[in-house]
Parts: sequence; C-alpha cells; structure tokens
Amino acid sequence: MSSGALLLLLAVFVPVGGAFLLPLLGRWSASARNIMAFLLVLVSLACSTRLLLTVLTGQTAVYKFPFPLGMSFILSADGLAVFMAVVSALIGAIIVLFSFDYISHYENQNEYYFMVVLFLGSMTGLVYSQNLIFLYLFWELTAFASWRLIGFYRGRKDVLRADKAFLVTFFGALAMLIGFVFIYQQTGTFDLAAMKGLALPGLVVGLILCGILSKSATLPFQTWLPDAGVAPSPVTALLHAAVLVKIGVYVFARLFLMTFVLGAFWHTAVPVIAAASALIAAGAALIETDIKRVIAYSTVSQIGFIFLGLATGSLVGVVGGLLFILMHGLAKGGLFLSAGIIEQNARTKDITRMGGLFATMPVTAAAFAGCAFSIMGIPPFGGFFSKYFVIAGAVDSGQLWLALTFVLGAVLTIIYLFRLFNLIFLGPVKGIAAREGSRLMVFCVVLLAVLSLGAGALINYPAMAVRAAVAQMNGIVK
Amino acid sequence: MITMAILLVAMALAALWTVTANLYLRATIALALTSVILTVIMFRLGAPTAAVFELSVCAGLISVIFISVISLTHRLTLQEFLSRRQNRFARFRYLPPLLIAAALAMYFARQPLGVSLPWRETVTDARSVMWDLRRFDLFGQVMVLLAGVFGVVTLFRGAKNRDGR
Amino acid sequence: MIYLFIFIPFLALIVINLLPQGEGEFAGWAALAVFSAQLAAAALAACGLIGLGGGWLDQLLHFRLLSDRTGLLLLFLAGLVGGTALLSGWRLRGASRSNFINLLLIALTGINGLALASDLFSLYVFIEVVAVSSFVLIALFRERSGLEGSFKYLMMSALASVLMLSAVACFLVAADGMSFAAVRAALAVPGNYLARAALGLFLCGLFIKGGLVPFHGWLPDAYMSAPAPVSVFLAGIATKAAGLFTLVRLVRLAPASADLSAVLLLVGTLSIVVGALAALGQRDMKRMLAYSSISQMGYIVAALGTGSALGNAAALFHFFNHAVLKSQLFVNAAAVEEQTGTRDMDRLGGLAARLPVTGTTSVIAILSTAGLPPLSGFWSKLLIVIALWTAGHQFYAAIALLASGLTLAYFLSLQRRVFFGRLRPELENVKEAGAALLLPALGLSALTVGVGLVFPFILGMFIK
Repeated sequence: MSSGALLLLLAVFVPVGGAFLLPLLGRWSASARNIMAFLLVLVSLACSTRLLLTVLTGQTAVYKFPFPLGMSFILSADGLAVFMAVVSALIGAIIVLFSFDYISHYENQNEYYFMVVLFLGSMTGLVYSQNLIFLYLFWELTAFASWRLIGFYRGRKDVLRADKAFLVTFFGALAMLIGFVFIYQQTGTFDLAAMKGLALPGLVVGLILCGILSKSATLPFQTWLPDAGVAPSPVTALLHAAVLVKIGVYVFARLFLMTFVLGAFWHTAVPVIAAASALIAAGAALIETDIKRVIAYSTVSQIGFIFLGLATGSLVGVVGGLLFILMHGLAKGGLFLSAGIIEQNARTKDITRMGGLFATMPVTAAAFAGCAFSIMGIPPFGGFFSKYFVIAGAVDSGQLWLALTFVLGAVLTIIYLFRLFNLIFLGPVKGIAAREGSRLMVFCVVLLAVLSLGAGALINYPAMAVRAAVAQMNGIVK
Repeated sequence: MITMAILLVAMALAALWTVTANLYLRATIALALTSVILTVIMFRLGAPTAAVFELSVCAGLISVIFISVISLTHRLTLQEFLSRRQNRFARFRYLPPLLIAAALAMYFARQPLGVSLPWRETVTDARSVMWDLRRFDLFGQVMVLLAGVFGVVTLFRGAKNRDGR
Repeated sequence: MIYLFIFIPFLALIVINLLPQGEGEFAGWAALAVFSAQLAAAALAACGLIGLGGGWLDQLLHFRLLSDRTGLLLLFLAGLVGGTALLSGWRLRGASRSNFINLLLIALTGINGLALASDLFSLYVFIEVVAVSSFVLIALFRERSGLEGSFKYLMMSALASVLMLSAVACFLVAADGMSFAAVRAALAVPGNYLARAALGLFLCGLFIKGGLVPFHGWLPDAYMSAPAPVSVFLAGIATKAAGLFTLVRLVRLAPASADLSAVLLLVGTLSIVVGALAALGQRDMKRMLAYSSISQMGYIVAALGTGSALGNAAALFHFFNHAVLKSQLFVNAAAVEEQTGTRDMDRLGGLAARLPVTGTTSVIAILSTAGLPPLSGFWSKLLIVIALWTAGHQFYAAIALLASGLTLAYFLSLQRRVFFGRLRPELENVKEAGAALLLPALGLSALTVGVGLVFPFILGMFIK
C-alpha cells in the first residue's frame, strides 16, 4: 500500500473508529477522553495536511478496495477533497478544543465527544469518497451525529428540532439516492471516476439538488438550520459553519464540477435559487432577535454566495466559491463560538436584552468584530477576497443582474451584522453584565479571528491549494 | 348438472344458516345438514371414501360433540339475545377480504367458465395415500393436534379457579 | 441429519413434559439448548461445515425434504428469534411458563417444517401448526384483550386456510401432485388456467397469513394484545415464516409473469405506504411496531415482485434483517413495559437516562430499519431499490425509497417520546431491565451492526 493510501485510511478511520472508544474512555477519566478526542481530530488534520502537500505537487493518492455491483470502496485525495478535508478538520479541531470548557458542566458528555468526533471523521470520509454509495453512507452518518448533537440538551423543543433537522436532510438524501440509482442504471457502477463527462437528464439533476440543497439549508429547505440553533454553541458552529452545511456545497462541486456535465439551464437556475436564498435569509437575519438565529440565517444567506460561485462555472467564480468555504468556515465558526460565550455568560440569546457588553468582554468583542468583518467582506479579511471573486465570477459569465443581486445581498450582510454587533456590544448596559469566557474559549475565538485575518493577508497560500483543486476540474468554462 | 347445481345452492344456504343462526343448537343442526349435503355431492362425484369420512366425522361425530357441549351451557338472557340479534351481521366483516381474494383468483385465471377440467387417475386408497406419500404431512398433522391439545390445556384448565367460581 | 431439525424440538417437548416440572427451570434451559443448537447447526450448515445428507433415518422415514440455503436461513432465524422470545419470557412463572415453552417448541417444529417442506400441502399443514400455536400463545394469559386479538387472528386465519385448501384442491386437479416440482411444471404450461387460479388463491391465503395490506386488519391487534415475549416471537418469526417465507417458496415456483409481478408490487408497495402512514399516528408502542412490521414486510413482497435473482436475494436479506430488527424492537418494548408498566408513549419520556442499554440498542434498530448506512437495513433496502429499478419498476423504487423517510419519521417520534428527551419525574425510579432482556437486545444489535459492516465484503458471495 502506498503511503498516500495509508494516509487516506488514517485520515478517515482514526476519527471514525476512535470515536467509539471515547465513551469507554470517558467512564474512566473525563480529561483523558477530551484530549483523546482532540488528538483523533488532529491526526486526521495532520494526514490531510500531508496529503495537501502531495496534491500541491500535482499528484493524487487513491485507495481502492473492490466490491461487486459497482460498490467498490474508493478513497481518493484530489485537490478539491484535500482542501475541503483540511478546512473541516482545522475548524473541527478548534471547536473540539473550545468544547473542553464550554461543555464541561453538562450531562451526556461522553455522547457529545463521541458524536463530534464521529461527525468529523465521517465528514473526512465523505470528502475523500469516490463512490456514490460510500458518499451517501458518510453523508447519513453526519446526519445521524448531528441529530444526536442538536438534541444534546434533551428538552422537548431541542429533541423536536433535532428530529426536524434529521428528517429534512434524510428526505433530501433519499431524493438524491434515487438520482444515484438512476445513474447506476445508466453506468452500471457507483464509481465517480467512471462517470466523468456524463450528461445527466434534468430530473436526475433536480433530485440530486434536493439532497444538496437540503443539506446546505438553502431555499426551500432552509428552516431546519435556524431551528437547530437550540444545540450547544460548539455544535452550531460545527453544523453551520465548518462542516455540515458545506457538505452540500462540496458534493455540488464534486458531482457537477468534477464529474458530470451540468446543462446550461442549471448554470442559471442554481444561481437564481442561490440568489433568492441569499436575499430572503438576509432579510430574516435583519429582523431576528435571537443571536444564534441571526447568525444562522446569515449562514443560509452566505451559502447562496458559494453556490453562485460554483454554479456560474467561470474560473474566477469557482475559485471564489472554494475560497468562500474556507473563509466562511473560519469566520462563522468564530461568530458562533463567540455567541456561545455570550450566551453562556449572559444567560440569554435575546439580543434586545443585551447591550454594552464590550466593556466587560472586550477580547470576545474584538474577535467577534474580526469575524464579522470577514463575513461582511471588508479587506484585508479573507472574506473580502472570496466574496469579490464570487461576484466577479458572476459578472464574468455574463450574468450581470445576478451579480447585482448578490451585491445587494452583501450590503444586507453588512447591515445585519452591524446591527447585531451594535445591539450586543455597544450602547448602554441593559441589566445583563456578562463576564469574559474562560481562557481556553477566548483563545479559540481569537484564533479563529486571527486565522480569518491571516487567510486574507496571506491569500496566496489558500489560493494555491484552490488552484490545485480547480486545475483538476472539468466543468469550468474558461 | 341441474341436480348438482341445486345441491350446491342448498349447501350454500345451509352454510349461511349455520353462521347466522341465533341458537347454538340450530347452528349445529345446520352444520350437520351442510355436511350431509356435501356427502351427497361427494357420492355423486365418485368419491365414496371421502363421502363416508365426511358423513361419519363431520355430520356424526362433530355434531355429537357440539351438542354435548351445548347441553352443558345455559340459555341466553333476553338482553343478550337481543344484542346478539342486532349484531348478527357484524360477523360478515370478514366477507370483503374473501371477495377480494376471489377477485384476485379470477384475475389470475381469467378463463371462460365452463371449460371441463382435466381428469387423471389418482390413488384411491386413503391409507396408502396417507402413509406412503404423505408421511411428512402426517407428522405435521400430529403437531397441529398437539398444538390444539396444549391450547385446550392452556385456555381452559383452571378457568373456573380464575373466575372464582 | 436434516430430520433432526424437526425431531429435536419434538423430542424436547416430550422429554420436558414427561419429567417432573418443578419450577420450570429445567424446561427453560432445555428449550434454550434446543434453540441455540438449532442456531448453531443452521449457521454451520450454511457455511458448509456440516453436511445435511441422509444417514440411517433417511432409509427409515422417506420424508421428502428440501434442504437449501433459503430454508437454512429460516432455520437460523427460528433459532435466533425463538431463543430471544424464550429469554424475554424467562420471568414467567408457573403454568404460563410451561405452557409458553411447550407452545414455543411446537411452533418451532412448525417453522422448521416450513423450512424443509418440499410440497405445497406440507407447507399448508405446517402453516397451520404455526398458526394454531400462535392463537394459543396470544391468549396465553387469558385476558380479554389477548383473547380478542387471538380471535381476530383465528378468523382471518380460517379464511386463509379456506383459500389455501381450495388452492391445494385445484392443484391436485391441475398439476401432477403437489410437490414443488410438479407445481412448477404445471405453472409453466401456458394454458393451465386452473393452476394459475390456484396460485392466486394460495397467494391470497399467504397475504392474509402475513398480514399484508389489504388483509392486515388482524395483525396490529394480535401483536398488541399478545404478551410481550409472545409478540417478540410472533413479530420476529412466526407470521413471517407462515406468510412471507412461504410466499418466497411459492413465487419461486411460478414462471416470471407480468401479472404476478403486478400483484406483488402492488400489494408490497401498498403495504409499505399504508403501514408507514398508519404507524405515524400510533400512541401504543407495540401497535406502532406492528404497523411498521406491515410496512417492512411490504418491501420483501415488492422485492419478490421483481422476479429477478437480485430481487430474490434482496428479499431474503431483508427478511433476515427484518426478523432481527423487529424482534429486537419488541424486546425493547418488552423491557420498557416491564420496567414502567405502560406502553403508552405519551406517558413515557427520557428513558434513555434510566435504560441506557435499551435506549441505545433501540436507536440502532430504528436507524437500521429506516435504512441508515452502514447498518444492515440500509444494504437490504438498497439492494431492493436497485433490483426494482433495474427491473424497470422505477416508480415503485422511488416510492419504496421515499417511504423509508416515513419510517424514519415514525421511529424518530417513537424514540423522542420514549427514550430521547428529558426524564419524566414520575419515571425517576425506573431501573434498567434484567439480563434476560438485555442479552438478546445486545446480541441482536451487535448482529445488525456487524452484518452492516461486513456486508460489502460478503456481497459477492451473497448475490451468486
């Protein structure tokens, strides 16, 4: 077995397998379990990073175990996969670190770490899978883990909304599976590599899009995401920012940019859906008063930008879309974790009851501001570049009106984030005086803000990885 | 042909009487009547062995058992009688599945009625059929009987103690 | 060798009843030994480690038995589920205990007979063995609800018997005997309408026995009113053997035809959808499981409707999964009922905190039933959908697939109302169930997970 294949297996199965040990370890010692969980994610991150170096030299690594009926288990590290794996493992590791303090005084911690690590491992598996069946397998594993995680507090509302999220994504995934079976009948295999260049009928594209849009919480399947805000903040960060909603985007890129040929109709239809999603969600974010719901709607809105970038099919747009995944993951993760600190210390999620928190929690406030700037797209934060590329891509492909719609969306983003910051941190104190969070938690938030800034200042490095990914795509109009 | 049709209709009527009768005794008599008509039909179809079995076991033995059991029971009170009378057609709720089944069977056959059936020589001696060809079934039938015995034991032994009578 | 499968339970029955009863401890262990021996023997035989050849008994008995992999599958499951039911009824005492064990052994003999029968009439007789012992088992405690459920089952069963007997009679005329070979030959003749009518009648009888829509009325009542261990046995294997396994045998006799496919697909899909929709609205845990059972059986019937080798294999695989999963869920229901005294889901909640093993195993079972990868239920559903799709029944495939979303919906509601969520104050003192209920639950869920993980590796062997 080549070293690349070994790294692939390690990156996926160390967290997936190790997750099952965590509850056992947790019965013995809580801190050992926490450290173990962090290490498992780190190992995955290290393997993916090592693979990134391989990919940058223009090679790919593949592991294949043959099964009949076209269900061979294939892991493959190409530019897109490695980029995505590194992004999710990096943010995942920070979130696990943040959880140490955040989650330490609740019940069911064993299950929590089990599910988080299982989730991250499955995400890695999904990203590297080159076979539709195994892609679906890991896809559902993430859905399962997020179901348990959203219901973490076990209240009636929590559990109901966990069920809702699970059901919506499950139905979407089933529609997608119908599409997969259709493809199977045409090609006799589930192996993606064997399908390159296949043109799909509209119905199948529509079915697969159902799955993708439901997982990415894009219109018309967006409502589960804000509702899932009942989960603990690290989980919301995991779901909304780093990983879960990006699965849909990633699979879109994997299927429609790297494998199948998307018809001209969809090059317009998907951006239009994305635009509607971006604007409506931005409007909702403007009027919500629950801090986590605001940020969640902001996520729905920003995912629209990513879809725009990927679906236009122009080179600049795709580069922007992929960069957006990274930038948005870092910044939104930071926002959610800050929101977690605020929520835990202020004991409320209602922003109209907060105010003037800047005085008592300056570091968190600064980190929050940094992340918010990145989401807004203010240079030199990373979010600026990705947003700029995406809109430039839309202009490039000749869809000027669409580009203008998204500029409007970007303006709305700036407005609602300013409103949010204003209500929480500025103005007079309204009776709720929150302390700063624990050192570890604040460190994590600051780290994410700094990374957001760094990724923008040193845009060359992420751009290099993205370029390696784009070079292997075939669905791009150059 | 006409005799056969009359016999079949008569048997169906007797069977109907059996399931709609209000009194157990009448139902038993109706059942015996059904069996007797069936016996005649079997004779006419040239199956004397089966006919004898039918007459002795169904019309004879079973009726005796039923009647002896009924003699041990008490009469219905007027209210019970009336309520039963009201619900006497409730038992036909099992009819629809039967009709659906018949429809399905017809669907499978879809054959013009009246076509003569193929005829073949069969082994007529019941004993040789039972023992030479159907030994495995015989074992199964023993098991059915056993299950019945255990059922009676389970359901009826000690019933009085439980009711406190 | 293969005769032992029907003689050992029979002998055990005699031995148990001849020896002095005592507290029934010995009977329990003896029956457990029978079930485990059968489990082991069937597994070994399936792997080819034990031969099933005749020996001296063959000379003596002249039974014409059929020993194939399909039969071995049923034998294996009968051992597995029977043992599970026995364990979940371990705490029964006195007369109920000995009656329970006796009837379980008789039913086991019946199921084994079904697995080995090579003749339609034998099939019918052994269906009756299973059915009669099931009637009594349902009414084991002689409670009003049990007797009512038993009576409904009895009525519908009688109807099924009539249909099957008429079919047997028709086959006697239309075919050269009733052995599978003769029936197959008769059905292969194009103009043999009587044989086709008989096939239809027998099919209907089996639909009733299996409780498939539109003949499903008796099933929820029977499952719900049966004592907990009995419902494990009924739902896990008894009705499946009598209704579905026999269906597998019967369908394989008939040449593939559009009519047969249409009926099977229609009944199958109808069962899937109606069962799932009805399950959504239930409050009683066992009743919900019963409707879910109808829905899952629909998948098996629909898969048989494809008529392809893949469809048959998928149907059998789902048969296996369904038996394992349903018995596990009924074991979990038994644990909940035993510990809390109720099955009303609106009065339960948050039990995972008090019944961790039951809660966890039930999560595994429901996710597997809903078809969540990588659990075993996913693979069988996937194979069924692929079989349906490649056989040209895309519409049915899509319905089957989307219905597993409904499955997840009702099961999530079960999980939410019983296990997930906060513990109700009045359930504060509830404790985990005893080992007799936990062991089977753990074993069965280990099987679910294990088969799911190993399945891709054995797929090649499986589809041959």
